[in-house]
Amino acid sequence: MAERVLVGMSGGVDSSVAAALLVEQGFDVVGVTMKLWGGESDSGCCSVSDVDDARWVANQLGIEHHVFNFGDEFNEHVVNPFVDTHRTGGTPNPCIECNRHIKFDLFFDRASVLGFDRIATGHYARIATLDDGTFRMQRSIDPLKDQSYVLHMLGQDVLARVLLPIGGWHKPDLRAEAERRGLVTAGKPDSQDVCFITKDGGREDFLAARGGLTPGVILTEDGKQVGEVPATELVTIGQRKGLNVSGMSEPQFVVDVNLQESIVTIGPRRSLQDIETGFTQPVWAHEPFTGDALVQASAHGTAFPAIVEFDRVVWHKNRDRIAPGQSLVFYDNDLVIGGAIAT
Amino acid sequence: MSAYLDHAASSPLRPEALDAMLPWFSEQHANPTASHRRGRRARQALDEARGVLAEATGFTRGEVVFTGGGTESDNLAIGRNRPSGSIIVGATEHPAVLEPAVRQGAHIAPVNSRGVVTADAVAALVTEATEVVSVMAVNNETGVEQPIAAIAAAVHEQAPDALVHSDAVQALPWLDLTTAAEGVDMLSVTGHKLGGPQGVGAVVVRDGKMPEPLLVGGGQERDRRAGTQNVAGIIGFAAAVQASIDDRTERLARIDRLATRLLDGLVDQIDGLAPTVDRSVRVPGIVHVCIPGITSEPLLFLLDEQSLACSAASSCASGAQGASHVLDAMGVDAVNTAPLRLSLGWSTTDADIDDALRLIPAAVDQLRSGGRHG
Repeated sequence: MAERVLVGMSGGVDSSVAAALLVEQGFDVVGVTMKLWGGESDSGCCSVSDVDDARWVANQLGIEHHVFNFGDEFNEHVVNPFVDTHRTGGTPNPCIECNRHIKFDLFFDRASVLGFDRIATGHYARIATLDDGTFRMQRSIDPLKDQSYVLHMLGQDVLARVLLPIGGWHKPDLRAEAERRGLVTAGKPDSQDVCFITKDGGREDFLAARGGLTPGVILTEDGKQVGEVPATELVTIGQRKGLNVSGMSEPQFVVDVNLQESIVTIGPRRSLQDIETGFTQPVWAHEPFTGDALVQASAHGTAFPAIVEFDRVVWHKNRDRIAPGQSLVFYDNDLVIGGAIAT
Repeated sequence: MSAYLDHAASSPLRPEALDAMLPWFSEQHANPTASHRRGRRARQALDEARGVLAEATGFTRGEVVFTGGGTESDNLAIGRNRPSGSIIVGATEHPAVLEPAVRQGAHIAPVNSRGVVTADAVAALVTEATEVVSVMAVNNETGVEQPIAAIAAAVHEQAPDALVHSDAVQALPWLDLTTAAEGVDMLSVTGHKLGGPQGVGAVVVRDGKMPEPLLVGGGQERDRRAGTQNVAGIIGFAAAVQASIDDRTERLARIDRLATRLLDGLVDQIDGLAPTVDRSVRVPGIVHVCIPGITSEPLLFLLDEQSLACSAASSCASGAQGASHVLDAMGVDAVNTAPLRLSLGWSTTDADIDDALRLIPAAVDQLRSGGRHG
């Protein structure tokens, strides 16, 4: 009997093609749209029209489609921590928390309980099987779309039972494929940024509505006040734009954010740089690791060589400081070894 | 094999309704406002349908206004542009009442732990400013009957000009509204909860008490609801209502027996399962239970896979399961509990109950024993 696969369908083109490929590969496929965010969104991934699109594609593919309401859990594990991290001066990555707690935990468990053998999603990443039989998250073949960074937290139990059907596709080819198959989502624009943050309101309105924002002052490294910011919570280490300080002899970057005292410190590039970055809450694809690795600190950033130690990475050369709350992901070539949260 | 226990969502079409409708889709089709004889026949048929609804509700023929269903009827009865504080509705009303009422600043009458809005609870909110009071005759989730005749009497005693409305959409299959809704000024009813077609309903309104129409135009329904009537649908609706009146005694006894068998069987087989409300306060056909230790979304998924159709609380626009405002209002703690509504109707048989008694305990077992690698 064919393996039963529960595929997450957001109503976008990627997961639509993922579902189509699974059907073609002979799996017994059921589609699910997770309803995550109940508030305002631009298109995000949870609006009624997106559910309608997913349902329509499921109908085109001849598979059943269900909606799972994980709204409460999404608030608890993604939205509230997003707000809290900002409040403590960090820069959260909610997509990572959503994958960690919702898509590859709750959804995974739900699929198990319902008797499915596997889950699948439309992420751009692959799962490699090593010679010893263990699994690794592997980068997509499309470097522009690779999402292995936001999937770095998956352990062996999950990796063993996840299918990522589009990890071997380049996005333009995938769109053409969706077109060729006549899927209604073929022309939908890519989702942008965080699904619960609107383009118009931005993080500013979102956080302002959830407890207000704190104005702060901008100081130079020697303590001279050179400007003000309307919301200290929205300033990120490494930020250069939007500070409105002039008359400096060289470009200025945010080198420190002190939320307790509402102080943003700026300095030249060299003050931003550091040879090491501390981390907490490491997770591993297989076993805990120390040693040489490539380390990536943002979703589409470059991975730089570093030594992974017990609680920090030591870069081969000075690097711009990483905002606390961001994830560090450790790679061996294009395979994910693990990841952690920068402190 | 497919078992259908979702009559409260929509009941399959009765053969009487289908037979009655068919000619009006073909050889007898006409616009009932047309002056030619085919048009006049259609208008006559509408009048006869109006007579059936009048008989079923205890109103006169002229007081029956056909609509596009229960939601339209409810919206019409609640009315628009009413001053804040002039509307009183029960806490467990259907959204078709609750939404327009809350948007206009309604007072909410609480329910007791049995899900009942008492006449006293409503009377306590009535003031000189009260214009409309709306309490449903039978709750769509729990099947609880509300004392609407007593509520009407209590309201009218304090505020003789206030309009008392009742959403009787779920009551029409079960209750004799001529007595149960005595003294009520407006009733909403619909076809598809008792074997009529979907998208056809009526609001019956005492003469001279009609709220402002929602639809204006060609003057149909005596200017109370413009738009060409859904002739075939209305005739099917009336045929289903007539059939439902004709077999009421026999049907209620049969469904009560089936529902009792269903509930007893579930209580017997599933640890911790309990009926949400007592049989003494509900209609026979709606069996609402709470199953601890699981949630309803995966339960409905498994039952659906086995072709058993039933419902939990309410479905939101996306199709996701939402929390129940009805259980909330009753003070039922639904955390880590699956509410399940099994609703029976005219076509329910022992085979449906057999399936439910086999499938529901098995699904609950699977969910209760399921773990990460279950």
